[in-house]
Amino acid sequence: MRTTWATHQLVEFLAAVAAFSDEQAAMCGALEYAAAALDAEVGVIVRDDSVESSIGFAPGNAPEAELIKAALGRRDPVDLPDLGECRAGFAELEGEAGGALMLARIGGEGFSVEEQSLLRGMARALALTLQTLRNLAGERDLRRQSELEASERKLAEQRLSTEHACARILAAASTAKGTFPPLLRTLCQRLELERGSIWIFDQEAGGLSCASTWPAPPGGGQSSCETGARVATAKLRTKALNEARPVSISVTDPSAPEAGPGKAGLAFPVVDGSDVLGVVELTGEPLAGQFSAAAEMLSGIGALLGQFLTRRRFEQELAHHALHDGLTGLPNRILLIDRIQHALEHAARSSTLVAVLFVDIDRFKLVNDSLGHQLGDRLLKLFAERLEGALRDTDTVARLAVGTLARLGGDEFVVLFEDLAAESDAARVAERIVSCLAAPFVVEGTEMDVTASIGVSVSHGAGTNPESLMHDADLAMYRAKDGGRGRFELFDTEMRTRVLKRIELEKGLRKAIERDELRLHYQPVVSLKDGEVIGAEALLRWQHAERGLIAPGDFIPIAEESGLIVPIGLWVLREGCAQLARWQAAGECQPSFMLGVNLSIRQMSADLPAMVAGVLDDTGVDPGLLWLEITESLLVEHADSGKQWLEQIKDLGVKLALDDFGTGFSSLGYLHRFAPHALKLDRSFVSGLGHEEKASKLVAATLEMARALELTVVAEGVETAEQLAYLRALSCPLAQGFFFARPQPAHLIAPLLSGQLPRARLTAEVPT
Amino acid sequence: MLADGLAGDQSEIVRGAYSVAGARVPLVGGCASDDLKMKETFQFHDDKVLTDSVVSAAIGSDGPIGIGVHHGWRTVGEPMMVSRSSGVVVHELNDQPALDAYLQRLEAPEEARRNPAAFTQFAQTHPLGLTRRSGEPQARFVGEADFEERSIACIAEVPQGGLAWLMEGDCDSVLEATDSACGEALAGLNGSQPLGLIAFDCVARRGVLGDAGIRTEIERLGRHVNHAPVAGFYTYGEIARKQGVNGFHNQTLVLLALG
Repeated sequence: MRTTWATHQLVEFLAAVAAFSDEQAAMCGALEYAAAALDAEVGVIVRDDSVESSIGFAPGNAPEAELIKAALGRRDPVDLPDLGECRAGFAELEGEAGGALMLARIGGEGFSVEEQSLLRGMARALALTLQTLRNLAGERDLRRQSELEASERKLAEQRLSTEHACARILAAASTAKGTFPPLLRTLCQRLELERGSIWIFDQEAGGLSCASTWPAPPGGGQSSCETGARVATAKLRTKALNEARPVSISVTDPSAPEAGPGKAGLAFPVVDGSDVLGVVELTGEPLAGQFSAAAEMLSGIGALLGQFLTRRRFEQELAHHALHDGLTGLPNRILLIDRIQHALEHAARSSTLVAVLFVDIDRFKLVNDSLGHQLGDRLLKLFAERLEGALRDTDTVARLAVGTLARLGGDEFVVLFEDLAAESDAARVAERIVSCLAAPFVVEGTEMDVTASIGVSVSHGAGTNPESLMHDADLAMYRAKDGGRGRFELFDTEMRTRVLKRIELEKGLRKAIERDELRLHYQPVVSLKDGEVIGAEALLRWQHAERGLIAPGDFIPIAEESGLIVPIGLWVLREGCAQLARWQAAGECQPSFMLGVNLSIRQMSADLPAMVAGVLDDTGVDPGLLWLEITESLLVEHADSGKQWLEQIKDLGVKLALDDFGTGFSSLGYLHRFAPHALKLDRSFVSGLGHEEKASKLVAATLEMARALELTVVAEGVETAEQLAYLRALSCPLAQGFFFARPQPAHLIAPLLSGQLPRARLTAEVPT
Repeated sequence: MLADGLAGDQSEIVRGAYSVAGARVPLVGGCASDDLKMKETFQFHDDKVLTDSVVSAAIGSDGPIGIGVHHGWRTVGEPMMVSRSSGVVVHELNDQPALDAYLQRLEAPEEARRNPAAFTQFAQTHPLGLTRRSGEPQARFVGEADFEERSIACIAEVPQGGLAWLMEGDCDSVLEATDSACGEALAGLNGSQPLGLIAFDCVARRGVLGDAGIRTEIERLGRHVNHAPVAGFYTYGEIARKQGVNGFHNQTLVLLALG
């Protein structure tokens, strides 16, 4: 009977313990069952030096140290705190480190052998159960782990594929706005949401403004951004913006018909580094855990989009810089050419005209040099504004399409006009520009009058290209400047022909020196007192290989404009001095024979004195025999530095002669400042002698003045005996002209140099 | 401890109380009944009337306290194996439908085999007895039968795999138990004179005794305690834990003697 009892207790125990699903519950339940079966008040399970479970003590009151000691010490009877002497039964928990099961009865009734055997059986059953549970738990952990890994992997794959999809959209974008709808569609579809919108921070408005929505609002407008659910989610956007991280809320605003109850929203910021550029907002069915799983991905996409927007803005800025002038913000040459190209294509289709106006500020260099670059730049800006204003006015007056204003750099502006019916329309625009400059400009308190020269070219049929149109306008502009500045000139074909010729000449002139095509002719300067040839003026001629002798008037301006005059001028000086030295060496001229050489305004530079000295040194010519002939305009334009250089030249002993005297300013001030050796009276005065009373008076006055200033005077262009007679009557000391001798090559003029001109030439009487 | 007799598995209440009070504190009490209507019972706490509750009082005393526990049911025949059970429901005994085994072994009257009310009446005096290490088998009140499924349901858990006796009793055996419980309770006073006796007596025992038997029982109790005051409850389940961890009893008399 007793055996049956124990057996059945064990069977009950096994059935009960097997029902537990975790170790802790199994130990707790096993202890209760064992205590109940064996009528023990106290029980404890010890494992690994700690109490796993105990029974018979109020919670937290179990004397753990004593229980562990008792369970492992296997002492029976045992004294337990508060309970006094107890009889105890023990069993090892096999397979459990330091595992033991102890039951104790208060009082004197000990555990019988049978009961101890039952207790060991229970302990063994419990140990097996624990082992099984551990194995099961391990299995469960493994399975859970692999399930977790699988779902994590799936999430990671989803995340990667969504990020890739977004990156592809951004990479393929041609415009920033174009990327928004496909981006929103991708995000909504992947996250299984209903709608989305992108909000970009608007600096001017000082808040978020809706850049795109998906699905597109009916009718294609943007207005629905601000209606319905969007209003309810404003708080969400602000939160995402402020916290700079993905956030979510449920949208329950009853005023939001689309959002309906139970719909949720999430928003994440569009960031580039620490800059928050905007917010992407998505709404739809509740997201539950899906949102927190997607948060990291959304942060990534927000950064992707942010970087894209920044890059796009930067590119736009670069593109603007590349096509616009930095100072005025106007289109630059590249953009202008493109616009002209388009305008020409349009004109060809519509049978209208395109006009290009070259606008160049007159003497802008003077402004820049005298006032400094900063004020110069300021003037350019004001000038651009003035032009823009004039073009707007023109638009209303002449009913023309608004023109494009561009700046080519420096002081060059270009106006492009399309849809012109006639050339006269272009002229009207030019007139308007000229007149808009009538009012003075005020630059930092300084008032200045600014004029501009304008060249106008108009398209001439299908063959016109932007470059030629620009070039023609440029030429016309120069023509306007030549014609007196502050005016405009329409380009015509004659102008083109002349220009082509000029270009041709310039090309030839460049090679003239190396081809040895330049010649010097000499014109004697005669003393009117005794007819003695006291010197000669060296005059440049160009012996062109194909075109023969070219007149100075045809190529010297080209040499001046192109800057070729500098090397040519040096050649003239060197060749002239060398010739003088040869004449002197050959005894073909008086020792005091002087040589006049013209100096161009373009030759004026700090190097000039040294160059002159070098030539004199090389040729051994006495500086006192060299007369450098300079014009009044040269003195005007190089008032300060020019004086200094000319002083240095004078210090060499070289003499200065003021050429073309009487045509320019004829300023006493200049005469005083530069103190030339001689004046050369312009041929226009000489030619008037004998039939213009005014001429002889002017000549008389000039001679008088020269005498007062102790200057000698050379009358130029003496062609008739009558002129000579007048000059002699007025006591003009020196003269040159066809009447005495034409300019001739050195070998032809040589015979004249040492002698005197026939007396008859000098004795012609002044007609009465 | 005074608990709701219809609360469910009241043995869990006692187990919980033990886990809090610990081995040093004996537990005594019973579960409120409603005169076998099996509808609703009440517990009193201060000025509140509660239901589905447990009301407890801690008794601290310098004097001795004795507890006696006896039911007086006799086992009938050999024990049977609880071959299939789940919780309080016993499906099979000795691999036989539990209801059939129960009715056959006890030679139940025809009425009890068909009528649920008659069955409950019969079952009141025929509890199951679970094996214990020592002393009387622990009585388990058979509350109802499922005539379809042929199972019986007890008022507390019946572990599968264990042994169970069928039990019966009569006036004499019940009164004998009263004497035994009283003797046990008074023995706990260590010779002190009892100041009074509180009884938690199962309603099923009252059914066996009848009105006359009850009077006899109370007389006997009075005599045992030298006519010190005796009071008590007829209960649906009794609580007495003085040794071991088990403390919930069915169809039993629990006596608390205060010395």
